[in-house]
Amino acid sequence: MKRLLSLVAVLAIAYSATAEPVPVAGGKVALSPNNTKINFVGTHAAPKKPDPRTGGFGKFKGEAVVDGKALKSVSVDIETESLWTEIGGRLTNHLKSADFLEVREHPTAKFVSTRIESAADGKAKITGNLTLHGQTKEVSFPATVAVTDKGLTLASEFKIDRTNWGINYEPNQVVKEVTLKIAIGEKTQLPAGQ
Amino acid sequence: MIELAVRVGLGILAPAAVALALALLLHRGVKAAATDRYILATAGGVGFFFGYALMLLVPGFGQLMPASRWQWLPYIGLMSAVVGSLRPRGKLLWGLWCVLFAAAALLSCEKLAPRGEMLGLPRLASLAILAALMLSLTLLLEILPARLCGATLPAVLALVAAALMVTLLAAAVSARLAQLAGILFGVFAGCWLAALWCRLLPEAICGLIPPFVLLISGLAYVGCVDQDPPVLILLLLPAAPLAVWAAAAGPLAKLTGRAAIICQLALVAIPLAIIAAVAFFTAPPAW
Repeated sequence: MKRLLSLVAVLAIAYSATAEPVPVAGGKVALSPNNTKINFVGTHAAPKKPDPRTGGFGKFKGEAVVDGKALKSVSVDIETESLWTEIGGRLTNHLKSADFLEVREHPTAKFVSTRIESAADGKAKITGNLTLHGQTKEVSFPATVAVTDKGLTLASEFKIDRTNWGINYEPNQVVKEVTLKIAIGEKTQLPAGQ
Repeated sequence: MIELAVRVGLGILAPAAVALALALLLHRGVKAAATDRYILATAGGVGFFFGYALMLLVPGFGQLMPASRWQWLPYIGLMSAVVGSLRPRGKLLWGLWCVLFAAAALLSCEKLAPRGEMLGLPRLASLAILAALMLSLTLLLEILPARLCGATLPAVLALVAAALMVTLLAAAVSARLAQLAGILFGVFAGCWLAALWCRLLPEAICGLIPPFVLLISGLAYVGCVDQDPPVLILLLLPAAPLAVWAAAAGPLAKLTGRAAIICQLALVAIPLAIIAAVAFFTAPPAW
């Protein structure tokens, strides 16, 4: 148990070391790929190499509003055409195609928070509307938020069921749950050549 | 393995059976003449609609109420059945029929085309060009000599649908769109069997041309613009049946029987194979 706690502590320190607080100006924080990461992880139902398949979005802009040490709201507009994957090539095209995000049909995705419940330990529960694949659904997810004199950092990892947004392709082959990893304070890093 | 069997069964064999059953129903049940265009027009257009509806049994395939561009295709199939059933007689009616087909093509393109600029052209211009190309293709197939519009023509159209399915997979465009091409392959194969079984005459077989042009061109177009950069070579695929014009004159026109059938199929298969190969070799790498 001690080892586990030590590992958690090390990981927490490692995260805080890589996350660079994004400066607050007039109570607002401008979000962009230069200071934020929006990544995803998909998996197959049956093992299919390479698995899992990770990726993210290279173009987006948003805004977080803070009041003192509390996060009040966060919103982000994503250009779905900027989707990238670590292995690139056909996987990137396939995820953009009619089988998944249909980026020609739905060039933008959007998240707008409607409620943020903060606890004293930096944990928060963020609720908001996620527009994806042309459909808007409410989502809630946990996040670790820190607002310091240096600025804002946020880290969150949660799952969404893609079929709730009408992304129904092959649910027996490609797992319906997709993990989203959001990090404010970390720069988006595209794989070479993408 | 079971999944593959379901996909082939529901996605190809069932649509073929539906198209065959519809054609037989109209020919034997309604006593349609062997020259009536509506037999294969209905089998093709309505057959595709039912084929699509059957595929909805596969989880995650799609939905009947269109939410995406490609989900308009079954309704375009129904529209193509109506347009294909009409028999234009005389210059005036031919002219009116052309206007009607052009309107149907324009409406199809409008439903299938994504928003914004396409292929470097303003949306309206690209829709008009696409509809004009569809009309040209239809007319060039409708005026094929009767000798080339026999029961082999539905087989040629089925070959094009099969090639579209293979090309969409080879170019890694979309498995879902490839499945739609599979439904079309089944439908045209069913129409081919119906043409043989009912001994349909060229006039009736031409009824299948409007469903072919609207559905295959529409699907190829969706596949083309779905990718970035667009897979332009897909746009050539619906024109492959025009290769049978090579058998309209010269030494190939003298062939008869099986040799003539094999010649027509080969004439179309060659450009199809080239298109599929180009699409495969120009597709992005797997990883």
